[in-house]
Amino acid sequence: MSAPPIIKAMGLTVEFRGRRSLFKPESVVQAVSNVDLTIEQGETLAVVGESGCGKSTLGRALLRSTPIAHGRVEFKGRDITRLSGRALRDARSQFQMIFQDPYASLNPKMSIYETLAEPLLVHGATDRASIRPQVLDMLSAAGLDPSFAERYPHEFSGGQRQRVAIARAAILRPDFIVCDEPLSALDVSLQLQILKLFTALKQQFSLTYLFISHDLARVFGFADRIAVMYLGKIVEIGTAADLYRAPAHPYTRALIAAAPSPNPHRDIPPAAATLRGDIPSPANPPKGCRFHTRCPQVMDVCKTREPTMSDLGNGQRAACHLLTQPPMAG
Amino acid sequence: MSDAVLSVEGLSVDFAVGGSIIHAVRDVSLSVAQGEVLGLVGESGSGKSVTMLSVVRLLDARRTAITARAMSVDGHSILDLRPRALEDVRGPVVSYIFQDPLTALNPLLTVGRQISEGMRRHKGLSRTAARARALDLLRRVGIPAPELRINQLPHQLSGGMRQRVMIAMALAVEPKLLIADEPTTALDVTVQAEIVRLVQSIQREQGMAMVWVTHDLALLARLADRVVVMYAGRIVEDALAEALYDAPAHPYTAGLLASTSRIDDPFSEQEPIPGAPPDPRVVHPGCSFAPRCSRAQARCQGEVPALEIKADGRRVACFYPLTGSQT
Ligand SMILES: Nc1ncnc2c1ncn2[C@@H]1O[C@H](COP(=O)(O)OP(=O)(O)OP(=O)(O)O)[C@@H](O)[C@H]1O
Ligand SMILES: Nc1ncnc2c1ncn2[C@@H]1O[C@H](COP(=O)(O)OP(=O)(O)O)[C@@H](O)[C@H]1O
Ligand code: SF4
Ligand code: SF4
Ligand SMILES: [Mg+2]
Ligand SMILES: [Mg+2]
Repeated sequence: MSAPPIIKAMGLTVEFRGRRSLFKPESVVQAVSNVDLTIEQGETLAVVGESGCGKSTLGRALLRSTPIAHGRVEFKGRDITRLSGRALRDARSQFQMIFQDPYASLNPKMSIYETLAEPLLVHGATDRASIRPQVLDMLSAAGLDPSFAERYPHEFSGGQRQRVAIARAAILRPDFIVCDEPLSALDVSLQLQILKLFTALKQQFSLTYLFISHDLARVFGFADRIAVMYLGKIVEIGTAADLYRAPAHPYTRALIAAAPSPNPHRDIPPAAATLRGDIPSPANPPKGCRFHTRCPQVMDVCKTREPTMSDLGNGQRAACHLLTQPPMAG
Repeated sequence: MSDAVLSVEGLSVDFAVGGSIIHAVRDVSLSVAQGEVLGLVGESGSGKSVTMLSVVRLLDARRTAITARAMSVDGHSILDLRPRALEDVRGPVVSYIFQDPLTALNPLLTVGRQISEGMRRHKGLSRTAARARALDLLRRVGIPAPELRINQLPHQLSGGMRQRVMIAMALAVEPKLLIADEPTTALDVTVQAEIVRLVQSIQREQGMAMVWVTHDLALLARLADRVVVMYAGRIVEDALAEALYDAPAHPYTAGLLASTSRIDDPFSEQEPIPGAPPDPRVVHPGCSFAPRCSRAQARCQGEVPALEIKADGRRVACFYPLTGSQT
């Protein structure tokens, strides 16, 4: 039998309660709604979708850093949904998270050396003499000059700070890293540099990533598999190659069509594939298929019945009525 | 150029910050013809916004030193205009769409009031006529239930809707020149695609000139007629869009193009530009791109390359530009 996946989520649901007031009844936002997902050792799974669709919440729920309303999460085959106290801390020590804003996630009062040494110390590095070489090795693996060790975060550019944040996350060789939009504060020319760094570290330390991004084009070649989210749900998941060649969900097609390409000769996407309007409020998602208010191929059934996941082979799955009941001709 | 709606010659802008001087824009010359869409692209801090804000004189004059040989919008010499006359140029002649609509919209006035104001003031429309046209514009920019939205305040709208309102406001006065400064950067790609399409169709219909500022070359590929690339406060390349995407001449343009997200290219073949943009406080004696440039030679370290016009009409500031055969 092969090793269990690093992460397995089943029916995962996260809810936030809006504040109740004299004039408003309590509202519940299902930020993540009934999500099934597995992430294998050494894999990069990208999660893409529009702002507010629940990407960050999904990432945090997998790390058990936000309360789970329903469903379960397994880490290497072990149920961690209800862990607490010491057991939860131990499980979490195998996880890391990297954020969008490298400025906010680094302590301005700590030198780069201290920033990288801290996790080693916190997690009980007994051999203090081994810390220095580990930190210096990690700095050079992250493409930073070892002479930077004694300097402070404010002395660095955004791209360099993100390298420091990545080095700190990787230094404990965690089993699983959630990267939450680590590129979106960076310029285009630096984004590709940082993506290449993620790839190099993954190979060197056999890391596993959940990589959150709103930029589908950016992660297409980089990720092994892609999960597309819309209003709390995964609407399609599959290998990047399959999603590009044969996207099954109208929303995936719309995201691909909307991705700008620096090739002026690339075919203009058909108007039918493009969306109109903004994403609806997650506090009040549309009935039936949550995408029906913006779907270019909406049918009557979509407004009342929620589509279920269809298996399309090679691990590709999508939730759309078109896959189970094609529209009537004429 | 006689039919230029916007013409800037030798613009330089310095800011005094703390004890140092930031040379935000250095010797920038550009023009935009009637009906033309110019894409202005570069990394953050490269001077795109400062260039365009100078054109509408929206920079704080006390902390800013603006110099230019000449600068005109639709024949009005911007540097000589008094504040009153400037107000008559902003709006009917040149409209500006900002990246962050919340800072540009008045939080206390309804959407309808804000869109109508310019039309009443500059076009002399009556209150009812302006409101009817505002409603029509809201519909055109894709706002659902415009009859409801027209009476709402900016904070009651989503980010995408606010940006649509900004666009409606800018278009209401039918400007000769529209400056769109990263209006879609904060928005999701699907909304961005819709807004780009929308602005483009209105631009074509009204035949206005447009400058679209962005850090994303991909966005401009199907939008711009011509692209100006800025690096560290200077223009490094200015070419027709098709020529620029097919064969970039400046090494920075080539690097930027290679770094751009592309859905249809293998990741392993994408090559990043090494290093990071320079500190704007430091004056480099040579080409500002030299520390990151794979083509740099001794000459690049000590001498600033001038922006020169090439045989095909493009302008390039580089001693050793790429030519078609070298790519
Ligand atoms: N702590 C919280 N309390 C209440 N609601 C929350 C909380 N965190 C997230 N939400 C809501 O849950 C939904 C999903 O939010 P989430 O941050 O996961 O989205 P996202 O996909 O990461 O968006 P973005 O791309 O903007 O980061 C949103 O409606 C958000 O407002
Ligand atoms: N009001 C200001 N005061 C001081 N410095 C500024 C101001 N506005 C911009 N700058 C500086 O000028 C340079 C160019 O900025 P900007 O034109 O906004 O860049 P871009 O729009 O290309 O991202 C940057 O170094 C920026 O920090
Ligand atoms: S189920 Fe219907 S509305 Fe939903 S994506 Fe499929 S066709 Fe569109
Ligand atoms: S002038 Fe020299 S350093 Fe500058 S871009 Fe050209 S080759 Fe590179
Ligand atoms: Mg998020
Ligand atoms: Mg700007």
